[in-house]
Parts: sequence; C-alpha cells; structure tokens
Amino acid sequence: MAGKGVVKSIYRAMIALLYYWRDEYTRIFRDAEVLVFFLLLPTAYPILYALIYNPEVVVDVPVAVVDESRTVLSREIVRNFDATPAARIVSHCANLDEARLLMMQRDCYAILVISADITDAIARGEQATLVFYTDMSLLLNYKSLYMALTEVTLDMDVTLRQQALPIGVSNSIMNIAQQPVPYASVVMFNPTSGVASFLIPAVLVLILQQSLILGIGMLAAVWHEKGRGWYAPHRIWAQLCARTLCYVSIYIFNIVYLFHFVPWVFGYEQLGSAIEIFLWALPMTLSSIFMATTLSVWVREREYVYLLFVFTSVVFIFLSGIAWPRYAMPEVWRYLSYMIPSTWGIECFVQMNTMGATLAQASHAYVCLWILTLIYAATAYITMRYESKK
Amino acid sequence: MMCSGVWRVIVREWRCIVAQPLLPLCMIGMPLFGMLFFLTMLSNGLPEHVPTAVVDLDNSALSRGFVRNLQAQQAIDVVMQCNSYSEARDAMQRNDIYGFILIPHRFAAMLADAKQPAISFYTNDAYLIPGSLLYECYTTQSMLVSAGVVQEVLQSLGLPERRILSLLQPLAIDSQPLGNPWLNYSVYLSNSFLPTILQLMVLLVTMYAIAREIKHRRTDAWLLAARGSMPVALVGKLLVYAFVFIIEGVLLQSLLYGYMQYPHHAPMWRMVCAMALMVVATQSIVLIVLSIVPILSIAYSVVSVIGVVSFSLGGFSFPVPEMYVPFRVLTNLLPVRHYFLIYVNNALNGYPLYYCRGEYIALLLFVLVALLLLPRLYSVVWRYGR
Repeated sequence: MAGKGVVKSIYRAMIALLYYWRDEYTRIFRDAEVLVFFLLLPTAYPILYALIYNPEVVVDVPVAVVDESRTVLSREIVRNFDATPAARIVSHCANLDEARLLMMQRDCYAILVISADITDAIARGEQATLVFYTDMSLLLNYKSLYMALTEVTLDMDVTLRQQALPIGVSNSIMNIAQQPVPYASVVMFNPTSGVASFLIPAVLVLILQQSLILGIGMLAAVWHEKGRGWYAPHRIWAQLCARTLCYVSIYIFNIVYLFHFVPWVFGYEQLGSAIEIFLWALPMTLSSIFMATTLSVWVREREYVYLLFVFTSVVFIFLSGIAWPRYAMPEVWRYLSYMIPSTWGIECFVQMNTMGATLAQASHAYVCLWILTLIYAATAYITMRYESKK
Repeated sequence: MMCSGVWRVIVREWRCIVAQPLLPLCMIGMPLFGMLFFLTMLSNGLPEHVPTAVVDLDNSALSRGFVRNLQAQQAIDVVMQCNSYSEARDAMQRNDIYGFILIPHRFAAMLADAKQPAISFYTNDAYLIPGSLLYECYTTQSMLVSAGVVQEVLQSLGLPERRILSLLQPLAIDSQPLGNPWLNYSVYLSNSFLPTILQLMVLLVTMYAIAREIKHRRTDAWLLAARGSMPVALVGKLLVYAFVFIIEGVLLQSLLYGYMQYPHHAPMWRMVCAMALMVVATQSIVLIVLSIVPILSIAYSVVSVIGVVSFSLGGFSFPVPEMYVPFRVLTNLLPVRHYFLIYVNNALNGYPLYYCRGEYIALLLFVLVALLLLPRLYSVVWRYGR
C-alpha cells in the first residue's frame, strides 16, 4: 500500500514538473525582451567582438625617422626596421621637432633617432645608441615596435661583431662570437600572440553566463511587475528542476554555437575534445542558471536588469584572470572571483579549448564549478521559497 | 520664472533618488566600486612574479647558474623544476605555470666545444599579459648568457677590454616610453576603463531617469513641475545627474593624478572640462537614442550595447587604426573615445591644446545633435508618457 502511495506522489511530481516546464517555455517565448537575452545576445555578441578584434595583431604602426647620420649603416637600420611586420616608416624628418609634430598630429606613434656619429662610433669600436621614443597610449603598439627594433639591432649586432674580429679567426670561433647561445622561442597555444585568440574564448563563456543572468532577471521582473508572487508556494524543487530543464534545453543551441561554431568560423584554437567541452558546459550552465535565479530576487522592474547586471560583466571578466592573472590579484578580489561561475568556467574552457588540456588536467576548475553549482542551487532554492511566501 | 521651474524639477528629482536604493546604488555605489576595484586590482602595475618552471636537462654548474640568475629576476618566480618537456607542458596545461625554459642535455659541454647549443623557451600566450612579460625576461636572460660567452671568446682572441664591452652590443637602443616609463598597466587601463565605467553608468542612469517618467506615465507631473516647458524639465532632470557624475569624474581624476600620481602634464582644467563634456555628451546620447527609438525596451538595449561595446571599441586595448573601417567610424560615436584621446594628448603627453581641439568639438557636437532632436523627443515623451 505504501509503495502505491510513493509511486503516486512521484507521478504527481512528474506531472507538475512537466507542467512547470511547459509553462516556462510559454513565458519565455511570449516575451520578446527575454528572447533577446536568451537568443539574440548570445548569437550576435560573439560575432561583434570577434570582428572588432579580428585583425588579431598590430601591424605597420607608423613610425617617423630622424636620420642624422645618413650613412649605409643608418639606412640599413631604417630599411630593416621598415621590413618588420610591426613598423612602417611614414616619414624621414629633418629634426626631432618635425617628428614630434607628426606625433602630435597622430601621424606616427614612435620616433627613431639615429645620431650623426653612429657609423664613426662603430668604426672606432664604440657602442652606438639609437634613441627610440614611443607614444604610450597603447601598450600593444609599444610592445610590438620595441620587440621589432630589438630584433633588428640584435641581428645587425651579429654582423657588426663579425666585422670587428681580427682577420684569421677560425670559422667556429667566428660562429660562437656571433651567437654562442641561439635561443628558440616558442609561443604556445596562441602562436601569433593575437588579441582575439586570447580574449574571445573568455568572452564567449562570459556571454553564456551574462545572458542567463539578464534573461532570468527579466523573467523575474515580469512577475514582480505584475504584482503576483513569483512562485507557487508548493513543489519548489519541481519548479526549480522544471526551469532548469527549460533553460538548459534552450541553451543547448547556444552552447554548440558559442563553443563550437564561433571558434570554428573565426579559426581560433580548438584543441579540446568536443565531448569534454560538453561535459564542462553542463556545470557552467547550471551554476549560471542558479546564480541568476538567486540574483533575480533584487530585480523589481524590467529596467533593474540593465542597471544592476550590465555593469557586472566588466567586473567578472577582470575577476576571471584572463586579462590580469589571478596570482597578481589582491586577496580580496581573488576570493571574490572564486564565487563567480565565469571565473572557473573561463579557466576550464581556456585550458581545454585553447591549451588542449584534458578534463582531468583541468579538474581543479571543473570541480570548483560543480561546487558552485551545488552552492547556488541551494541559494536558488532558498530564494524561490522566500519569493513564494511573499 | 525659468529658474524656479528648474529648481522645482531638481527638488522633485532628488526626492525620487532618495526614495529607493537603486538609483544611489547605480549613481554612486557602482562607479565608486569600479574605482576601488580597478585601482586596487592593478596596483602592482605589472603582474610580476610569474610562476614558471625550468627544465634543466644539463644540470651543470653553468646551467644552474643560469637558473639562479633567472630566479633573481623580479618578474619571474621559478616555482618548479621539471625533469622533462612533457612534465613542464603538463604543468602549463594545468595552469600551474605560464611558461618554462628548457636547457638541453650537455649544454655546458657543447658550449665549450663551440657547438652553439640552443636554449628554448615556451610561453603561454593564451594569457597574453603574463605570457609577453615572460617572453621579455627570457630574451633578456639568454642575451646575458650569450654576452658572457662572447666576452670570454673575445678575451681569448686578445681584444682589449674596452672594445669587448662595446662589441657585446654594438647597437644599443635607448628606449624612451613617453609618459609611462614604468610600462605600468594601471596607468593605461585605469585611465581608460574607469571613465568607460562612468560612461556606462551615465548612460543607464540617465536612461532610467527619463524612461521612468514615460513608463509610469508621470510626464504630466514632471512637466507640471517645469511649468510645461520641456527644455526646463529636461535641464532640471539632467543637471542633477550631470552634477553627481561630474563630481565623481573629478574625484576619479584626483585619485588618478593626485593620489596615485599617474602622469599628468597639462593644466588641470583641461581634463576637468573633458570629463564634464564627456558626461554631458553621454547624456545627450541617451536623448538622441530616445528620440530615434521611442520603444523603451529597445532604447535600454541600445544604450547598454553602447556602454559595453565602448570597452572594446574605445581602442584602449586594441588600437583603433587596426580595426576594420566600419568599427573605426563607429568609435567616433563614443564620448569616452574622445575623452581618451584628450587624456592621451593632455595628461599623458602634455601636447598643446590645439592638437585635440577636434575631440572637444566632437563632444560638443553630441549636445548639438541632441538639441536638434529635442522637438522629436518632446513628442515622444508627450505621446508615450501620459
């Protein structure tokens, strides 16, 4: 007899679950604003961001040259520097003032000054100095230009040193004097050091989380505005499960789109196994849903969604450690970052997708993601109970 | 008459602000939190002590000396010694390290034989900032090793000491990073991202302030306070927010240039003016959006997109001249982009005012366009807000 009662109550719970599930679909698909957050935002934003950063690297930054030497050597320096991908010589100026004027007009971002006596200095066996002024409004410009110029001078150093050696030195000594310890630098996982390849994978994960926060917040706002309590006071678990199933089923499309289609279209690294990325997407989506449900308690009107949550994207992307590494953060922010699903989500996704790690290697972030899922499931449940009693 | 109208709108607006926690939170709480967040987050300037590993297959006195020198660099923290390349790669994939250096087997012996053994270093540019910092350190370090060897060889050839030193690096670069010689990330990120956060909050709060009247159909009361004059009603309302945000903007500038001592090479009024103009121009954008798109939900989305995309399109991390043409055009529509250029010209570089006249005028143009569209906004408010 008791068995029959259990079966019956499970049956009832299942019916309720299916009812709430369907109910949630109706609510979502009737509200254009919610659809914008759930479907349009995750579809359009990645394209927008990927296109903004698509040039990936800084090339041909305009540079002015003040060549006071006008010798074979100085012209070779200028020619070699111009030949690097980073720099483009836009003007040969007569003096520094003229070059400075170009810089003020934003016609160039750096000035290379070659003093009159470099050829003489080299011939005398002294060190010659090139003065290089750079505009520091963008570190990316400075870095690529400085690196290019360093490589040019290192390259020419080899020849100059060889020319300075006494006649009759053996070839092997010659080689070792030129470059005794050649170095091979291997840039891993982002071979071009591209901005998009490093930033977009993180942005994709953040978009998943933020679209859920905004969309679920908007759903809550609709209910709050209508003045009714948000939830029926019974079967909270069934409601939570039904909602979760509903959002997850919609987000299957977004997950495939964000984490397979977009990286494929724009040719980003995709080293991870597809199955493991799906395994990662599950706790990422769940924890975002539960966090969004928890946060939605503060959304009283539709506008609150924009006012409260748009700002958080900026904070979350910095907390994730993709731009500013986590070891360099002050403790407070590091602990705060542990509370945000996108932190672990971005870490785990970048590890697998960009760095080709297996899920086992990324297990730390993955486990943390599941722990957050459990914590936020509890808070979501408490929120729903609290809301339903009002 | 007009003044009293403006005054009454202002009083009415302040009553609305203090009546609920949302507006104070967004107007004051979030921008202040943003300042605290970025200035403390980036307070180191550079993410130094990057965790790295060393794969020393040689284990000679020479290679160990090399590792010790590496460890002595401020930017690097050698956290582990790995026995093989695969072990180090595994640690990198686990995010324990951001790069490693591999010293080959028989390194010292080959060096003595003049066989040019190569040192390889691996950096993880999936994390671009620590990755490129490591690259710099590794290059410097291996150049120093090379220099040591070259010095010995040249000595053995009998060259005089004075010539040897100059032959180690015949062409030297005297790099002058203008305005930011410390290569401090905070100087450049705080100066661009914090005004952008302010712009985002100005957009959202101004939008809310006007849209609230329309949504709750309270424009009658609003216009009544302004004695039926739409310009008075708008000026009164926008003044309140402009006042608060400009004060916050000046607070931000005094934090950056006063407390943090970031470069500031121009008269103070130029930056203060730029901040005030940016706030007003941003408010004008809201007016423009509302008069073109009278549907509130779409208008909210549009201003949110403008606010968020500014972080990328502002050209703070990726230069605008490198972007595709449509984006380059769009950057001109962001007040914070003009503010940033004014900052670069004045505070960072100390150029004459003449070279950023265009930016000041651009900021004023936003206001002008909003004024031209005012009749349309008036009809929008009238039609939807009663």
